[in-house]
Amino acid sequence: MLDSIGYKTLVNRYKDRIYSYSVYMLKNSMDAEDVTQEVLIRLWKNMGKFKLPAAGSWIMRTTHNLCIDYLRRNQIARQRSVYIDEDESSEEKIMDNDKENQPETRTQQNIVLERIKSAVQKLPENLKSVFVLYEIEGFKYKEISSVLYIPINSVKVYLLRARKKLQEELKDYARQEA
Amino acid sequence: MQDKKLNSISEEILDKIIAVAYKDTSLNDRISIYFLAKRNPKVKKLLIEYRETAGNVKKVPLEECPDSVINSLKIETRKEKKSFFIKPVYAFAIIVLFVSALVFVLTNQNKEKETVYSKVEVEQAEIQVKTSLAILNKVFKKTENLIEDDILPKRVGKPIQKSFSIINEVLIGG
Repeated sequence: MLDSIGYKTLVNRYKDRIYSYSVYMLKNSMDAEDVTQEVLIRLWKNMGKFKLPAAGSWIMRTTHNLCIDYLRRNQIARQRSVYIDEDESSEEKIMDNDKENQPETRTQQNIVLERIKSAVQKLPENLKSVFVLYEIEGFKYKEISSVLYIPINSVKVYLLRARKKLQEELKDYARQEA
Repeated sequence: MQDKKLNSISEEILDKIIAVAYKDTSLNDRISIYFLAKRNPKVKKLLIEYRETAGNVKKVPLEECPDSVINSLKIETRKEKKSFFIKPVYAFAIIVLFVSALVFVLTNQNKEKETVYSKVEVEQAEIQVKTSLAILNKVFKKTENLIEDDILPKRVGKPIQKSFSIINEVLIGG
């Protein structure tokens, strides 16, 4: 009974984080759904085997490991370009919406966010996992260190590199547009 | 010389600029970069660029997990609940309960059959048995009489006697 309540709370709290992380890592919403489902099933099976305060780290570690397994198993590299193409089409859709008298600033903002998402997805896996966990999911250095089994200093270094790389990617976008 | 220094930004300074832009550093570093940006347009430009990106990154929302994932999860967990009964400990407990319930019901049924009769009922039953036995006796007697008086002498004795006299006639010759 208590397990069931705890489980529901954890699902509500982490489902979007698990899904987001999987989407960024796998660049494919279908695979991300599969990973999310698998993580939540594993969570149900392992309820009571870990302390609730440590649940966040356990969940994200499981998510990360499953994403890595997925990337290795399915050789997703081939699908990446497809997904990025999908993203570009969504940008075009937003542009089209603009023509349909959508508020210009909002559309511009959406384009920027899509660009950032796309640029984040292009980051190398080790940098991306740290960046997504810190900047998008809001985890702290210590938590990321325990999720990814890397020292805190490495987390800081990866984060810095990811920020630099992201800036370069966005500059490339700007250049392409120009 | 001073200008050259201002134009080339070291890795250390760049790291600090990024950390300041992402609001991820100490107050000391923020102040130092703020003053440096005032003096150096390149630092200022970099700080603005990174700050803009950082601001946009902070606005990126979490992707919403589709409802279908959670719904399919409910089905999965229900399946898990079904397996609760398959666990040997629970199965054994259920079998023990079932057997004990069966034994209880059976013993109770046997007890119900042992009904107690009153004296009057017993006497009445005795009378009824006697009456039925008397009737049977009467019937048997009647049958016995019929066999002895009617059937044996007339239907059995007579033909036998007749057949004997025929045989005598044949053998002795009258």
